[in-house]
Amino acid sequence: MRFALLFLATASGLLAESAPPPDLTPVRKWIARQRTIESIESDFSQTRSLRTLRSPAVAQGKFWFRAPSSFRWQIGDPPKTIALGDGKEIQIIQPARRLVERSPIGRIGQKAGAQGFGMMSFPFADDFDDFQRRFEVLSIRTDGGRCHLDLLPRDAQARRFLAKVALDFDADSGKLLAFEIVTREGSSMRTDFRNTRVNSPLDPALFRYDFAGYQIRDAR
Amino acid sequence: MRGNFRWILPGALVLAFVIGGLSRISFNVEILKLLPTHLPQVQGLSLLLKYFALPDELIITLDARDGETAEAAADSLAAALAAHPDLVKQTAARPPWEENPVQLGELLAFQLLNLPPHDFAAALARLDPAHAPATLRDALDELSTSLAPETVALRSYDPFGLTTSLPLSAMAQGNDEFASADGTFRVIYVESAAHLGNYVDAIRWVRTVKQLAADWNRTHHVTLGFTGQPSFVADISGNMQGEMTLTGGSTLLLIATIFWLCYRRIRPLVTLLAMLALTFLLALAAAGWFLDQLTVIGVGFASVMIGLSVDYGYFVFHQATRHPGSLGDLRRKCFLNIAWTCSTTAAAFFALNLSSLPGLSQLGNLVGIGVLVGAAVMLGIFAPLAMRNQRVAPIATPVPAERLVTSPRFFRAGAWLVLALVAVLLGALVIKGPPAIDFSANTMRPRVSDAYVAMDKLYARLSDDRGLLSLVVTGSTPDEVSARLREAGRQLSAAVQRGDTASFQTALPLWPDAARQRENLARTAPLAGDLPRLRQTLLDAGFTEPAFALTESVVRQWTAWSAKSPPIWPSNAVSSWILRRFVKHDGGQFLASGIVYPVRGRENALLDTIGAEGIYLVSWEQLGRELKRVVPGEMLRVMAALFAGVVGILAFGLRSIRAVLLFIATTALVLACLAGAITLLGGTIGLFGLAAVLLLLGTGTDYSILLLLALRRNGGDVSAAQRDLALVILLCCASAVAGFGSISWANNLGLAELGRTCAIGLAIDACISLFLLPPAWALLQRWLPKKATQ
Repeated sequence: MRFALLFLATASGLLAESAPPPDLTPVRKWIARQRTIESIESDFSQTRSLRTLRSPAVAQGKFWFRAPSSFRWQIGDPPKTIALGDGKEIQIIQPARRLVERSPIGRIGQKAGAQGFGMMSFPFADDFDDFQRRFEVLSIRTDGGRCHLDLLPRDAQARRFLAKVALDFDADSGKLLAFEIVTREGSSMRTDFRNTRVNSPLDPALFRYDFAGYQIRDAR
Repeated sequence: MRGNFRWILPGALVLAFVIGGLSRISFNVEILKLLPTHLPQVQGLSLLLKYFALPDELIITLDARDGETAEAAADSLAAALAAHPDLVKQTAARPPWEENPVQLGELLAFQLLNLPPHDFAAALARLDPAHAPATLRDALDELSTSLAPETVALRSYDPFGLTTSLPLSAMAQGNDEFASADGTFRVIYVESAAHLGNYVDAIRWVRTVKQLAADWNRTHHVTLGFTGQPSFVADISGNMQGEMTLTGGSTLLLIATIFWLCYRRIRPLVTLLAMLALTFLLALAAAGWFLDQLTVIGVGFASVMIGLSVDYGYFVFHQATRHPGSLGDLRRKCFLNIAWTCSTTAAAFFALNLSSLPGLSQLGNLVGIGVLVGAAVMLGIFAPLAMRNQRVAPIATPVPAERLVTSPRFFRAGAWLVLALVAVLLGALVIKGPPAIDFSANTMRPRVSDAYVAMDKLYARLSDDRGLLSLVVTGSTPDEVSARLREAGRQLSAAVQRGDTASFQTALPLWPDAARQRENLARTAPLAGDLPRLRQTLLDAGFTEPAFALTESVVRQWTAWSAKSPPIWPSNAVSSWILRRFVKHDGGQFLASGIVYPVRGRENALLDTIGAEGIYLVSWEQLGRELKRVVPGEMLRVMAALFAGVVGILAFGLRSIRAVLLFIATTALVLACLAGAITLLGGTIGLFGLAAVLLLLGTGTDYSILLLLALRRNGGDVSAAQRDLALVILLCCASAVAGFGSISWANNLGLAELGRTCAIGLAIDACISLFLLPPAWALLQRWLPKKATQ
């Protein structure tokens, strides 16, 4: 873990200078719209541009969400990593290693940049006040229905590692189109969503997993 | 003239004794030095403090309005202090590996070398030409699909997966030592350029660093705090020096006031104070010669000893005012009385050696020596001076104060007042119950200490590890410590299975295994020449040059160690920083530490099953529990022995059941009233409160014994006995209460508890003995005829 900290923490980048207070009406609208979403099903492609890789690593995956807080992420086909969440705990499953690592949601939230690695929470914030409490908006711009938002978590631990978090969303439909995290060390990870279906019926079995024969342990 | 020369040699010897003794005085601020050394918790915590408390590392805390300001200020202050290499060896405002990450390669190389040989061989196999491409493909796959940020960070820079060979416990992350979660609170670690060998060095160094920090803060305006071992030593030692002077001085002042109110004479007053100062110097010099270091409790001896020694001075002076004979006659007249009271008082204080508390033993020895020296000084030097004073300026007796305190109205009013006081105190005891018992370490800490304030803040803002248990493992060789660490790990794993503990971390992954190192190191020889191939394979697989830095650093470290003979210890700056609180191997001492996360309520079960030679599981909380379990019983045994001795002597001397019964009843009533007083004042009884009760049995009972003797001497005449002793008892009590009372305000809470309890107890004892015991004697005489009670 020290090594992980080391390489996450070494880079030092200057944050963008604060601009005059931006108009956050689209964000307010988007968050309010998210509250009306009962379910999401979406494909995504994740592009990881790491300082240690000559070219970005790209992986395909699927995402399901069911209100109020159940979700499933899976990367690879067949899935190489699956994340299941129920609002209390997240289970990260590695089928090839027959291994499950469990983390309380609170602890995952404390891990700097955890969201960017795939576990984008829905709804993104309880309400607009909650959003403002947790994030500092660096910039916002709109292009038709698409809104681009650059922000930083207010949590000091997360700010040690993150240079910014970028979101692209459709304020009218509440759909998230893409999100990206950029670390101070110079790496970035971008997730682009496509084929998103909102409020369509989902099989409850999607949010369960048979752990027979798996080693289950608490995450570090 | 010849007579004067006769005193030169003894005078010079005394002077040399005093100067030599005083120059040897030193202080020890450790709380643990006050506690029984045979207790495992005390032994373990002593080792923890001695080897892992970092005596040369000052911790500076810094509070700012926002995280960015705090971070910049911490870096700036660290740089400002590091600019004084004569004063500061190094400063750290952020983890050292952030500035020099490649140095982490040494620790990784070391941990890999300690693996079982077959695991190490498996780790090396991932690097060989047949497996390296597949290893790198797995790494790429993991980097593309992992959802764990730390896995991505780690595999990015360790594509050959060397770290995956290490057990999870080797990778454990400690709590952040440098910044709070919101970033507004930062910590800077400052190491002294020179070893701080004693408290004088610590005071001087901490003062200079504080001054530099204050100068720096004129332009930064953040809130600074100072803690860590040097700060504790500087704070507490500085207080101890000041407290000894202040409490001793205030006792002298109170005694002078009492003497002046009674006799209204300056010359004998100055002479008496000079005698007390001489007694203090001689006793302190003796302490310097014969005791190792003064503890915070030993410091209280000055005022206690002065408060008790002055009794002999009062007695000698009082006798001198009404003694028409020679000096020899006066000395003979005083000798038996002083010898009796001085020896019983000294015996009571020396009896503190029967307890296993070194702090109390030291206080007992110091006061015991002090009262013996005091008796000798008063009889040997003060008696002729008092006689000369009486010849030059005679004092008419009885003095006005004596007339006041011997009137029948005084005794009647006193009896009613004391009865009312007893009713109130017993009422409080019945209604509010006995005082609470508190044996926690908090009862022994300083009342005011900047170092404690900063440390409490550090616990509140970073991580509070006070609920955790510390594992300390010692041994005479690295292999012995290694074996004991394994044994501790086995016992703790069993405890986890039983549910007695949540989890634990030992220093085993950071401790060298010489045999494994020897065998594993032999396998690394071919790798030095393989570095170009490994780099090329990695680049071919799609990685960049930075991804190779860690692997290269590890392989180069193995090559550097190949000429060394195990055990090999990591030694660069980053390794030393990480290991400094877990591993010690200096000067033939081998110690390792660890952390155990207990399950609330299962601590005792855990402690009962963990331990073997050289293995300690300790915490300050457990120390309090152990003290509570062991010390009260021990103190009660010492008290019972002392009380039985006093009762036995009294029964033999007085040969009266009535007197013995009255003595026992008086003592019981005094103790009950004392408990009521403590309850009423909202106090608690701790280690030093119990010691105070012990002292009370030794010194306070004198009053009732003197009254019983006077009643016997006066044929049961209550008024005559009270008139005989009123002034003496009130003077002695006032001076003893002044002595003990002055330490009630001591900075050390334990010492203050001792002083407060003794002062209250002595005052209650004197009042009950003087005003209630004689009427009770008369009452008992009416109910129990003399024949029946003899």
